[in-house]
Amino acid sequence: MTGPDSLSTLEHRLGRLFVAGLTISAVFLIAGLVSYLALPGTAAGEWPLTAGLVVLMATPLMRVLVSMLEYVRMSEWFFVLTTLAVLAELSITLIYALLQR
Amino acid sequence: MVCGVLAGGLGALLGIGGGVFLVPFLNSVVGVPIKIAIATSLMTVIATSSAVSAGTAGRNLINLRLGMLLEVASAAGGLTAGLTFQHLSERTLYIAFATVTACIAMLMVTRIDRRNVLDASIDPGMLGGRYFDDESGKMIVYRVKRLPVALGVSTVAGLVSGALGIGGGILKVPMLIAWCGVPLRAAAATSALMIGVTAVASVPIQYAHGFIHPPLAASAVLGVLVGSRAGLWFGGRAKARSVKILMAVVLALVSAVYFMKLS
Repeated sequence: MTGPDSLSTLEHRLGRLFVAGLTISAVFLIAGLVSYLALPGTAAGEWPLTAGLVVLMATPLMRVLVSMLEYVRMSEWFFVLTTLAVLAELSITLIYALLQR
Repeated sequence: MVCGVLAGGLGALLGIGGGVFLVPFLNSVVGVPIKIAIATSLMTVIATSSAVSAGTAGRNLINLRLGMLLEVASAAGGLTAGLTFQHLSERTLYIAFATVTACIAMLMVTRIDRRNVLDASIDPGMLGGRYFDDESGKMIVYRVKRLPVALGVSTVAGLVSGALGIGGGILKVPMLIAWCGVPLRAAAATSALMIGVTAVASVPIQYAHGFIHPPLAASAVLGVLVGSRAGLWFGGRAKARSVKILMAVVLALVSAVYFMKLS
């Protein structure tokens, strides 16, 4: 079992991941909203809005992926299994959603 | 966007996401259909989760091991809700919303003065944790108790989250405090981390079914991002007891609004 220092490092890493994900998402969402409001009734802003929402949804997914890789590095196999289980559940959601579109 | 700011502020402060405030506001005040309000709210829950977790990262408040373990259960609940959401009637959603918020408000009131803090020399175990508490100026150590209860409630929280768009922290935070021995600030930070993944287990399905209106979702998300910063700032300075009382009062009000909609 690894110590609290490794978990603190992981926590810092995840913090940076959240900031990056939120920043990219917010830039797309602001650009999309501005386009949508500037050109009402057109498709303007559609793709940046979609991109912003997709990045937003992808951020927690990336967090689970980064956590899993970090637990592999720490050799914490029980938590590797738990992250894999969560990734499997999220994969079912994404596959089902893609099939519905 | 304004209601996103308010919802994000309260959600960050309480570690439960802003959905419990945003859904009734969008539905009852703005007139957005309940299913679109719920799906929009789930998007803001993801934003709140990422923003709050970014703000608390590095303070050892987030219990990464416990959070990841409970996410297996809450994501399963979220996935189930996502698959069944389109078949739920509006009346069912109203009843569920009113009942859940009333129950949690009562739970918070009955456990208002509980403090889950052990001697600093005690080993927190595999799932416990330790952090420095600004309010008391002391190192806080805690152990996790009743893990099966935590897993069961997390599954229900995932179901409630996906069906009602309210994050699920509304159930997990009180449960972690009252039954599992986790102090308020650690429970709120861990829950805030978890609610993002729980929401992602259901919201892509709702997106695919057309319950997301991108401009509305973008406005709410941006509002929540602003509001959650304010909530985090205030949360670091507020007394734990005051936060619990505020949570109970707000939940009781939300419950009353939805019971009135049924009559």
